[in-house]
Amino acid sequence: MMEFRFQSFPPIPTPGLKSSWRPLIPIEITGPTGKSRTSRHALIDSGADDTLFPRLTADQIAIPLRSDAGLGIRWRGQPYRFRFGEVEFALTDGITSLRWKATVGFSDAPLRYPLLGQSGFLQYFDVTFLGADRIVRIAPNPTFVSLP
Amino acid sequence: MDVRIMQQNSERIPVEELQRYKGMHVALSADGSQIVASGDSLAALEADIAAKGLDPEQVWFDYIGGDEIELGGVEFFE
Repeated sequence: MMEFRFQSFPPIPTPGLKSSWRPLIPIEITGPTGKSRTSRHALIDSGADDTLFPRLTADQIAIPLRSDAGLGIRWRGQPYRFRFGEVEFALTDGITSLRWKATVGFSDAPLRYPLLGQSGFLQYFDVTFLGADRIVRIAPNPTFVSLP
Repeated sequence: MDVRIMQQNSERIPVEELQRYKGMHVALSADGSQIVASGDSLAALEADIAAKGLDPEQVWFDYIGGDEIELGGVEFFE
């Protein structure tokens, strides 16, 4: 099991604005050629059907995207198309490390953080949010298939 | 890159330093101790990383939030 502290948002104290605490975790995404990017903060979003990354990330790490199936998202009122691709994820809390394959959506929507939704992320884990302690615990469930 | 070292070091970045990057995409050094590249968008950040000769696989990508309030995730549709 891995454990991550919630992160304060915004990270900069703002007079008159109460900080929120969010389950933001670091994650590495790798394409088929071995190129990768590591996000310091990706949001665990139990309300998101899919896991979603910026389209630019797919371009940078050479992920072949499936053909446009007409799927889209609405982000801040604006519609954006998204397409799926196959990736590898690596997640570590510095003690335990996990790698797995996943199908991920990529969109031109100006996401601030990658979204770790049901498909590609939450489907493989049992996740516990400890609100009072501001901690999220993540444990692979029986459907999780680890990469070497 | 060691996530625990990054987390320890990044929490020590002064607020005054973070203020300079409010509302921007940034890259943190591998040890998390400093912001080494930035941009108004993810594309601009990638360009800044390249211009500075940094290895994009040896930095942490992040966004420094501004005063905006987030009210939820995305809506998926077909």
